[in-house]
This record gives sequence, structure tokens and C-alpha cells, in this order.
Amino acid sequence: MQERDVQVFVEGTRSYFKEITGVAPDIGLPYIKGNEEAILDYTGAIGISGERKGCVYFSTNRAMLAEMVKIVAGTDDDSEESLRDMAGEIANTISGNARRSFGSNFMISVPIVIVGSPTIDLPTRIPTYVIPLTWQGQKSYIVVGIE
Amino acid sequence: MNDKTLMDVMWVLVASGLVFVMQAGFALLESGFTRSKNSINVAMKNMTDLGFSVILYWAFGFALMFGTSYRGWTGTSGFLFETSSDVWQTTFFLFQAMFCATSATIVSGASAERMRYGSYLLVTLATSGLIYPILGHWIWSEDGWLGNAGFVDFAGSTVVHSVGGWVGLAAIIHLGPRAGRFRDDGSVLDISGSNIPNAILGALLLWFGWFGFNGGSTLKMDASVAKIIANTVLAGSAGGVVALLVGWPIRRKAEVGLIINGSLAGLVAITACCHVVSSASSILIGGIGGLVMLGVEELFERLRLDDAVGAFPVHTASGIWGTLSVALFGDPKLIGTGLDFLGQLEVQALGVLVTSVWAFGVGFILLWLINRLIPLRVTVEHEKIGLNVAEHGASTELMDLFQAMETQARTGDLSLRVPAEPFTEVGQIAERYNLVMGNLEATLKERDAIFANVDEGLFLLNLNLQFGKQYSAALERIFLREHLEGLRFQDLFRHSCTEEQLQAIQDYLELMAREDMDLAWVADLNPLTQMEIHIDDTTKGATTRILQCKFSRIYDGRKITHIMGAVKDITQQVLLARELRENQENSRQQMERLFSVLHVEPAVLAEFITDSSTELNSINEILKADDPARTLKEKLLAIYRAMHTIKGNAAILDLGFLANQAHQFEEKLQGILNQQEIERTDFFPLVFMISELRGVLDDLDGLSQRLSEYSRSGVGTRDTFIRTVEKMIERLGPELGKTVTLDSREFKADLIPSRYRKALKDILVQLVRNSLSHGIESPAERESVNKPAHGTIQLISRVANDSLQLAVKDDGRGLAIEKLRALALQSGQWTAEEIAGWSEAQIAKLIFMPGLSTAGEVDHLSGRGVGMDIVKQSIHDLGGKIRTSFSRGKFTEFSIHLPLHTGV
Repeated sequence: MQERDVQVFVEGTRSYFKEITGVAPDIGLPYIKGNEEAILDYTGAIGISGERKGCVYFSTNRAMLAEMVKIVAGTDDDSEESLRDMAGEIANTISGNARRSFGSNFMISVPIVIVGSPTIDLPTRIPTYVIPLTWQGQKSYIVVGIE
Repeated sequence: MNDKTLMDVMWVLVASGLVFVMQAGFALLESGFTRSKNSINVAMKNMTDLGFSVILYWAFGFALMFGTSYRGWTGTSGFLFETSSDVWQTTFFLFQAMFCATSATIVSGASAERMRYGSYLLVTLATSGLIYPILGHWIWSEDGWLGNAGFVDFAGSTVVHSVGGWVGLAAIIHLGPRAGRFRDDGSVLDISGSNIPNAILGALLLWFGWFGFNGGSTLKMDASVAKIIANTVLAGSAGGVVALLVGWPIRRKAEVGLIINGSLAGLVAITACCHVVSSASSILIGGIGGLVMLGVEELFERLRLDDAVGAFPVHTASGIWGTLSVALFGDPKLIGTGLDFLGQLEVQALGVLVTSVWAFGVGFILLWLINRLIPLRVTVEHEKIGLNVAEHGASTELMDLFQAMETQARTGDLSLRVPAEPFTEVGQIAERYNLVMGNLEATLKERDAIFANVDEGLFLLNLNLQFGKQYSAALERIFLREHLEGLRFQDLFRHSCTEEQLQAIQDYLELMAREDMDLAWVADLNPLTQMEIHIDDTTKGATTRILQCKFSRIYDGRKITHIMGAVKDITQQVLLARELRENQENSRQQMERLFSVLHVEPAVLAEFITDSSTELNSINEILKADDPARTLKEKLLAIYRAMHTIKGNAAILDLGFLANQAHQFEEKLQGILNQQEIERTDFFPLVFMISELRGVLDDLDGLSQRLSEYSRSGVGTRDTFIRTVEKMIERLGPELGKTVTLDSREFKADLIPSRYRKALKDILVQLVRNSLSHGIESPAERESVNKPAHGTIQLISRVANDSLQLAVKDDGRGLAIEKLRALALQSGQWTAEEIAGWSEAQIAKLIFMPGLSTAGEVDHLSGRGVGMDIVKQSIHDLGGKIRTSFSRGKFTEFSIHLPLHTGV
């Protein structure tokens, strides 16, 4: 994986936040994921197969999604359903970025939303990069593991 | 006995027998005209209504019809008829009872195939107990008002036949048509009878019975009997012939119904007037009777009235014609009512009208009431399976066979066998059927076994490229998809491969389906000889499969009918081949690496790898740590120090490729540090470089482990501490053009607690390197000041006052105070005045300042100015102190004090 590939996801997510909420998130320092989990309450993930394989996910906590819903929908609706929708929406954006950036030789799975903190199967042979984001004081992660 | 002779009695008894035979005729006719699934039901109704109507007629029907009249409307005496009273009365009763039964049984034909048996019995009770005897009283009783008005119905065209037909019509209207008889598109389903020969026999028996029906109605044996029977036969024949000749061209075929119903219509028509007309008139009346029947049948179809056997057209329509024929063709003298032609016609018409109002009206109301009580019609399901089974549990062999076949057709279960009763025709058919099914099952079992177990996905595509019903189980496994029938082949690849590949598949298959395309040429275009596809798998994201598909054409003559395909999952093979290639490539790289590290002692290498990994992890931890107190620049500097350590250690061990990589990392870091402002995104390239380095270290680790296995007993037991330092001197000395001896006699590595080991090793290495680079002079320089050409670096370790003391002492030139002063000025951090005021000791401290180096140019050994600041930082981190002492031209000594018991 190239530095450019990770930048695609980070830049895509950053501009999504900027566009939707008007406030861009702070991008933290990237690091290589070790055995610790980088996963929060809600996770939107896409699988990538084809010439290169792997997984990209965006994981965040409940408070942040609720805040986003408030801004996007203009309501205080923090129901499970709308939080999931919001996480799905972010995963969709990531998926869209991936499609645009990687072209047709990649198969990108339909985004899935995971609630809670299960372990996500990431490729073990290759390094996985974690990019923390901070938005309105809330932490979230973009995690990229692609060959 | 009045004036009746025994001959009369005998004739009427014989006639009663003949009329009785008509019941058999009806049973055969109606069951033959209906479908076999209802035949038993119809026949049984015929026999049952005979029994019921005779008993009812005995109980009160005969009394109502022929008892003492109440003002011409109904009989009032003679209930529960006593058969022993009078021979003629008894004969008359018997003859009339047969008539009553005949009238009742007509209803069963009209309403056949959908009327509930129980409801039918109630209708029979109403017909024979009320409708028939009351009307009979009006017409045939001595005091009946219609009869007295001059209405003539000799043997019952109206009284018997019309009445049965009218009640039948009421039943038809209440019941509605049989399922499927009238379609939505307006067409009419011709429901053919199950046993036409039986129907013909039935019709002939009816005809035969008519000899008694009309002949016996004279109620005596006299000269008129012969004429009456002859006229009856003439009319019946004429009816059949005319209906056939007229109906044949209309219906475009010689339907058996034409001749049967035509004859019966002729017989019904002549029944009212057979005693008063000529033979020619009989033929005319019978012929027109047949036509009337034909016309009314057509009318019924138009009106969507479903009369199963044509009972109303035959018995009522033709009966009305016959009743009117009394006036139209009858000899007034023989009629004997004294009315003129119009008068007679008028009273005949009145009789017809009264009968229709009475029989149809009462019948309609009673049927409506019965329908409230018990539904007249059977359920849809019962109508479908047939009334034989539904109403009577009476099955036939043929029905059983059909049912078994239907079950088999519905379930598709080939293991079912139909019951095969031996010694019957149906049984033999069943036996052959079972034989065929057995062979079919065996063949299909073989095929199923192949389809279930073959590894390849075998299938047929039609020319729309859709899958057929049959394909091997492997196909579903390969594509992780079920129910492929009707699906197009390329649909399996949608979202699993690129649009271009999808198009190529479709183009190729379309060419395969064209006869005008040369197969050899098309075969080269197959895009599926080896294609990687990615199938969405709900359980684990996406599954990658490498498939190989082969296709061939299936011909019928010269025409292509199908494309046959075989798909093979070759993922394992391809991946194994790929892995083999990768392994070969890896081995080659590893061999190269192996040569580059062979010169390093395995233990030293292992320690280097561990130490370097620890440094890399510490870099990652610096990135990961969320400590806002530390600026980005501080973080970068910390990373720089760690990387510098790796670089230095790699250089010591002469691991050029690693040192170079670390050097590049440093360059990158330096570039970022030089920027006006440092952004977080600037760190992105760093993580990738870290992971690259980590990859190299992992490879080295693998090599190191293998190497250590070969040389476990190898090189001495001296500590890696000393060896690492020695290694550096061996390597760096010649490079700097210096000769140095390491004096480690006073150095005991085992004094050093393991928690200090790594840090101290790095510190010692840096200090020794500093001595080599800056302290020790070149041999020429040394000789010029009367020193031995060989320099000496001394390592000392001791424990005193609960602290560990370490020292690195060289016999070189001491600290280059002037150079340091100049660098301090260059850095711009202090003014010239400030610097001028510093003591030598203060200037000496500058060597620990980051960013200051006295080395001439930047290389990968020193000159980055991090070596000494690492040392200071590390010692500080360990809670210790470092002191510098030097004497110009003589020596430099760095001594370190570390607490042995932390927290004390």
C-alpha cells in the first residue's frame, strides 16, 4: 500500500465532515496498529478484493454520531436506527472514495455497519494503519489495511 | 274394477315394467354423458330418487293426485295407499308411481356433476311429494280444473317431462355452471361424456320404456295401443334424424348428443299427442321436437346455463312443443274436448304457462330454501376430485390411477408407484406405467449421482443464455448462489468482475450461440479460461475465486439449441502456483540478505534486531501517544533520536542496506524539521517508512534465527556489549583512518542490571563513537605530538555507593573548545558576548545540545548531532548523570553514574 492510498481515505473523510457538518476534523498522527483494537461503538466497514485485498473501516463513538445526526438531520434523534444510518453513510463515503481512487480492478463490498466492539478480521501479513480523527472533541479512527 | 278387463290390467302392469326400465335408461344415459369422476354419483341419484319418490307417492302423492278433489285443486283422500283394495286401483297406482319417479329423475341429469347428494334428495322429495302430484291432479284427475278446461296431455309431455325439466332449470340457476364450463373469454368448454356407448344404450332403453310410457297411458289394451306405439317410434326416429341432419353442419361434426337428445326430444314431443295425430304428423312433431331441443341447447349456451345432459331442452322445451301439438295437429274428434282449434290451442298454452309457473316457481323457491338449509352445491375441491369420491367415497381403479399419477406429477417424486391391480385393464396400464417410471427413476438416479458429486459446475444454457432446470450441485457451490434456473449466465458475474470482463463474457456467449460463427475462431475468444472473480459472501465479506469455464455447442441437426458449459474452480491450483513463485522470489531475496549478514555473529545480530524493533515500537508509540503537551517538533526529534540509534547500530554491524534505509528516514525527518510549520499530515510518509523497516527487520529476524541454529556452539562467550563496541571500532576505525585499541579489562558487563542493558549499550556505543570521531587523532597527528600511533579507548565499570559507574576514556586530543564556540555562534542562539564569557566547562556542555555537531560533513555514521543528545537524554531518562572531563591534547573521559536501586 502506498501513502497516497491512505491519504485518499483520510482526505475523503475529512472533506465529508467538512461538507456535511461545516467543521473539519483534526487529523491525528498516523500509526501502525499493533495487537490493540482500534474500534469504538459504531463501525462502518468495506472489504476490498481484486488485485489488492484488504479492509477499510471508520469507527467512532455514539456521542459523535449523535452529534452528527443532530447537525445533518437537525433533530435530536439518537435512536439506534439513525445512528446506524449515519455510520452507514460514512462507510458509503469511504466506499465511494475507494471506488473513485482505485478504479475498476477492485471489487468493493457493500458497506456494513457493526455495532459494539467485535474484532474485525484484518489481514495479518500486512501492516494496518490507524489514523485517529478528532471532531468536536470526539475521537474516531480510520483504519486501513490493504495489500 | 270398473270396466277394466284382466287384459287391460296385464297391459298396464307390463307398461309399468317398461316405464321402470326407463330408470335404467336414465341411469346409463346420465352417467355416460358425464365424466367418470361423477358417474357413480349420477347413477346413484337415479336409483335413489326412484326409491324415495315411490314411497312418497304411496304415502301421499297418489292421494294428492287422484284422491277426492277439493274444487279441482288437490286430492284429499287415499293417503298411504292400500295395495290389496282393488286390482285396477293397484295397477293404476303402480303405473302412476313409475311416472312420478320418471319426472323426479330428470332433475338429476340437469344438475349433474356439482349438486350435493343430500340437497338433491330434498329436491326429489319436493318434486315427487308436492310439485308433480298437485299438477297431476289439475290435469289428469277427473275433477282437475285444467283437465276440465279441456287441456289435453295424453302421457305427460307436460305433467311428467316438463315438470322435471322446469325443476331442473331452477336447480341449474341456483347451482351455476360446472367449474370451467364457461370461460372468461366467452368460449364454452365441451365437457365430453365418459362412456358414450353406455349413454346410447341408456337412450335406447328409454325409447323402449316409452312403449309402455305412451302405450300404457291408454290404461287399457285396445286398438289405439298399436297406433300410439307406432307414432311414438316414428316421432322418436324423426327427432333423432332431424336433430342430427340440422345439427351436424352447425356443429361441424356428427355429435352423438344430436342423435340421442334428438330422438328423446322427438319421443317427449309425441307423448302429449300420440293418440290423436297421424303418422305423418308424428314424424313432423318428432322432427320439430328435435329442432326445438337443438335451438334451446344453443340458447342455453348463450345464456351460460349449464344443463349437463340437456334435460331442459329435451324434456321441457320439446314437451311444450308436444303439448301445443295436440291442438296444432290433433284430430278434434279424437281429442274430444269439444273445443275449436283456437280454443284448444289457447287451453294448451294455458296449461304450459300454468305448469311453468307452478313447477319452476315452486321449484325455485324450494331450492332457495334448501340452499339455506344445506348448500346445493359441492365445494370447489370436491367438484375437482369428483363426486364419486367426495360424496360416496366410491373410487374407481381408473380414478385411483389418475390420483396417483397426479400426486406424482405434483410432487415430482419419481419413487412413487401407482397401485397395479392385476387382471384388469387399468391394472395393466398401471403396471406398464410403473415399469416406465422405474426405468426413468433408475436413469435419473444415475444422472443425479453424477450431478451431485461432480466437482465441475455442469449446465446448459438456452439461446437467451439462461440456465436450465438441470445443473450440477457444484455450480451453486462455486458461485455461492442458489436457484439458478432462468438466470442468465452473465448475471452470475455481475458485481463480481469488471464491466469490461462482463461485456466480454456476454459477447463471447452470443457468438457461441450463432451457427454462422466458426467454433475454432470463437473458442479463442473465451474470456473465462482463467478469470478471477470476487463474490459477495454474506458471511465473510467477499470471496475470491479463480474460475475456468469451457463451453460447447449442442446441436439439433444443424441448429444450435443450447450451449453446454463446465465451470471449474481452479483457485487452489492458481494460488499454489502463485505462492510457489512468491516463495522462490522470497528465497532469492533472503539469500541476498543472508550474504549481507553472514559476517555478523548471530547473537550480536539477534540483539541488534531486538533493539531495533524496540526502537521502532517506541517510534510508533510516540506517534500513537495522545499527549498534547508534546509539540510535533518534540515528537519528531524523539523519533529522530530513535532512528539515529538504529542507524548507528546498523552501521556498526556493517548492515549497509539498513543503515541506508535509516539514513533516508533521517533525511525525511530533517526535511520536515526544516519546514516553517510542521503539519500532522507530514507524518504520513513516516509510518510507511517505519513499516518498511519493520518488514526488513522481520526478514532479518527469520535469517537470524536460522543462523543461530547453525552456530549455536560458535563464537566464545564474551558479552555482546564488548563485541558490539569492538565491532564498531573495527569498522569505523579504518573508515576514519584511525587505529584504536579497546581496553576493556576493567569492564564487567555482568555488573549492569538488565533493565539498563539496552540503553547503556546505546550510550556506550555513542560515547565510543564520539571518541573515535572527535577524540582520537589520526596516527600522523599523534606521532607529531609524540603519542603512539595507536589510540586507546578504555571502558570501565564499577559499583560504588549503591550506584553504577561507567566510564569511556580516550587518550585523544580532548574537546575541541574553539570549534564548539564557533558552532554556538553560528547557531544564532547566543550573542558573541555571551559566548565569550563562557568557561571551558560551560562550552564543553554544548556537545550535548541538539543540532550541534563538530563533524565535517553529514554521513551515515555521525554528523547529525543527535549522538550526544541521545546520550544525555537517555541517561536523564534512567535517572542518572553524566560528567565530562578532559585535558587538552591528553584525554577525554565521560563518566556516568546511575542509581542501582530506583526509588531510593
